[in-house]
Amino acid sequence: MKRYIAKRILWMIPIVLGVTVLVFTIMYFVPGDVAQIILGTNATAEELATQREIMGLNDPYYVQLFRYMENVFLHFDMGESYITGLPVVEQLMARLPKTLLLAVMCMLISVLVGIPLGITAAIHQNSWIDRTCMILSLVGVSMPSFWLAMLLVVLFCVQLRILPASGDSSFIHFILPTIAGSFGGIATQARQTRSSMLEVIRSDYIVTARAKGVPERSVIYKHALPNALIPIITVIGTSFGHMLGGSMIIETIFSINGVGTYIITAVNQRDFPVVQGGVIFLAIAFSLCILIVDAIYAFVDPRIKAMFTSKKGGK
Amino acid sequence: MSVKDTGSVKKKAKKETQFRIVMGRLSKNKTAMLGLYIFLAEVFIAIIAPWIIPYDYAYMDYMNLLSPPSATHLLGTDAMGRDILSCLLYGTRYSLGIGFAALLLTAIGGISLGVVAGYFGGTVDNIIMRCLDVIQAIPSMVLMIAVAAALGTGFVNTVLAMSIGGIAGAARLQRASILNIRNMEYLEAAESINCSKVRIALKHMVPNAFAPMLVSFTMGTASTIVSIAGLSFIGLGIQAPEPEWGAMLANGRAYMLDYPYLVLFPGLAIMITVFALNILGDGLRDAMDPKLKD
Amino acid sequence: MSDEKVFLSVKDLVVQYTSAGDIIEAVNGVSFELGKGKTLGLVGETGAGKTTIAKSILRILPDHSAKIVGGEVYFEGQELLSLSEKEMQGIRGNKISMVFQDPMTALNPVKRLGEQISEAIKLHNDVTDEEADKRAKEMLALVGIDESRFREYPHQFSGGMKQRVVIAIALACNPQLLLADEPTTALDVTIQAQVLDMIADLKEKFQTSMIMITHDLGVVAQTCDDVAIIYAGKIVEYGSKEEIFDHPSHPYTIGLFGSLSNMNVDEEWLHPIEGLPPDPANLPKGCAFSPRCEYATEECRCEPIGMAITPDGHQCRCIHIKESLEGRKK
Repeated sequence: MKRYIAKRILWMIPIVLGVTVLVFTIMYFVPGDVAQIILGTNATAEELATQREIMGLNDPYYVQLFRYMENVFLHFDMGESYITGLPVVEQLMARLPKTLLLAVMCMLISVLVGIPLGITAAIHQNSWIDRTCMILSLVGVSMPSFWLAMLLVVLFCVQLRILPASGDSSFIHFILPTIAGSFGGIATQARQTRSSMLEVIRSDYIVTARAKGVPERSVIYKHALPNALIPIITVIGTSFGHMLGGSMIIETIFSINGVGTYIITAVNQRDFPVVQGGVIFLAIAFSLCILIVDAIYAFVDPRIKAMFTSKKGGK
Repeated sequence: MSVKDTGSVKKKAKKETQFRIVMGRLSKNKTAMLGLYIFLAEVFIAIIAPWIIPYDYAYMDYMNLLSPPSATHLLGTDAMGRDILSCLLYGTRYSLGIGFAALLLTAIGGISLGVVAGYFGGTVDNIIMRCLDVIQAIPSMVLMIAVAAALGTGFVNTVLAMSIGGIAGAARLQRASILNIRNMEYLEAAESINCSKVRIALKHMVPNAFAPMLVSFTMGTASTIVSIAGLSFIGLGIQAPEPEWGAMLANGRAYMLDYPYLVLFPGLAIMITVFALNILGDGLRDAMDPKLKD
Repeated sequence: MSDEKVFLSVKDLVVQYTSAGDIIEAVNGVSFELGKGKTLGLVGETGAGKTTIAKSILRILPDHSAKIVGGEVYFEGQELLSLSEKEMQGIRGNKISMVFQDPMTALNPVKRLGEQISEAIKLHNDVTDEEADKRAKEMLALVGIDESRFREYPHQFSGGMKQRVVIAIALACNPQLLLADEPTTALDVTIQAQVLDMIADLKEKFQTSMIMITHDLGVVAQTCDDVAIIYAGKIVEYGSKEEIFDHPSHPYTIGLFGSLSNMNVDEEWLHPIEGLPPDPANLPKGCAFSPRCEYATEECRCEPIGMAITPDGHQCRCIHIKESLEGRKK
């Protein structure tokens, strides 16, 4: 198991390097003069030229790329914001807890609500319970989270006046963003759980369990669920990525001062070091999350575990 | 008749019946058909939009700023006096147009990468897959925002931003299904009668691997439509005055506390479209899954 | 007949499946009896309804698609079909248990083997976890698997080993009745013999009655006392093994024997039964075998055929027994 995780962590290194190259390259080819963005439209040609020289913008692409990579991975420095002049890494770290809090809460709610919903639907396949659950999930999957966020604001903050519409200073402020962000996740988990459960319930080993005289409840929860969870875990990993992306927009709607708001503001101000740093940052967070999910996956499924544990360790 | 001819005739016949079986099952599924009808209706609206909208989408009725739904403006007007119904109807062009274009690009890019990786294997496969790993390490929405930020707004740029993440997923799926059918006997048969590799890949593997892609394309288009709206909402993608649904939501946001209908209707339009595609995709998957027979 | 002798009796069992609106008549009025310690062979082609009969006795048919429409199953004088689900759970795996056809899929892939055996023991006996584990290890040893593999997972075992484990699970609570559903079909020929021998030994040891479901007449010859030949959800011929093997009377049974190669006679050709089994969603009105039968007359196709008694005294669902017996002699 340790070997497997070590392997996966090592594997992350080239991925993160690749992401950095990719993101740097995308941003490098953005049209527009960086010096102009920093100095404003009133700058003289001479000032612009000096600025370019200072920032090394006249160097060839690969020199700039290596400089950036060196800064990021050896000095943990992603440059400074063009607009505020503040170091990007510092800003990202300061905002990360709020983004993580939102994403993790959304993930927890979607798993805790979605999986039981999916199980219920699967057990009562084709009954009205199943149909209601599935129609609700379809609506949930189809609803853009930022639209739901706006509707929630209108309902709870304007009509009912019981929850704050924006801010991030207390737990109460996170209630609406969490609902908005987890609705789609609940729906995804419920759908995945249902189909995965239905497939498992049809398998032979479930018949074996019934033939042993195992009570129906245990058949579902002890025999079917552990098997059904295996594909669900993968979905949890990818949907965490969706949460990270989707919560960017939700953060801006509720004025939560997280990584998402930071990046989106920077996008609109053409503040590229921030966008670049932020995207790399989120990619690392996402990769770490997938890593955790893979580890859980290997832990749950003995077939995967067996592939990575040495024979001696297995016994 | 040569061996090759009988082979292709047989395969054609099989494919046709397979297609018919799937379509037959699909047509029995009322929910899926509802999705299909809604979707087709929207395509139709998108095509005829310029002729059916009550007002030009850019026309500003200064006498009726922010007017609630009424007889003159069925769904009301926005802060600039633009007719919301007209904007919504015209907006189908953006959502569906970008959705389709991105789908096409994703399909072409994804399928060709997947086929190349899956069929040729070895180093080629390795290089392609590692590149996909890198792309997929970035959450798709984040990647889209980054690309859109770099390229700028507008129809073509948005299509590009939408497809980049999608190509990785489609290629992976295509590769998996190619690997799945790669060892099937009919390919050996084709190889044994000296078909070229390219010919085998195009004539034999792509059609057979396409079926599983169809479901993912339907669902993919659904999520693309949400993403387009999301991009436009944060100031990328398609910008006002173009009546893109996400851009309309962004415009309405400032007034939503007093005029909630400004954000209600565009959101509903997105939801209905995505809902229709999702139930269609569900239906397609059920129709293709032979396990669901019992 | 005395109660002691009639250990299991199935009367007029009718089971239907529904699939995409069609009703499939899988079992159409099957009756048989099984004595204590005896073995009955249910023989027929794939889809004839053999497995459905066994699953009906245990009541583990899939709820949403299958339905027991009629009939009675008496087990030690108790009618099983009218028991509550809870009472039935006490019988499954305890008094009656089942060995499944495909050992590759019959074991839960994420549970340790030992756990899967001891679960049955714990469910039906008032024992501590340690005792259950100890008995499960004994069961493993009994089916020829080393105790040290107790904590391993199914994927670490070969098909034949898995089937041994499935048998260990089935026998864990010393059942009185074992339903063996083609227990050797999915195994290599060499392993088949081993598994059959093992079943026979264990059956002898525990005095278990057994229903052996198979399409292999060789297996029947080796293991069974009585034989019922099933065709399209009906028993077409029923008697002791000797009666059936020495005097097969139904044209279908004769066909089954004819399709085997005879080692003693130097035959150039095998004689397969022409045609295919009928579509179970659309069974012929009369004898289901009539479309494939060379003796079939108009009468055969009109109405259901009842059981007749053959000259040597066993049951046969045919009105042309004489012709078919003569045809065989010819």
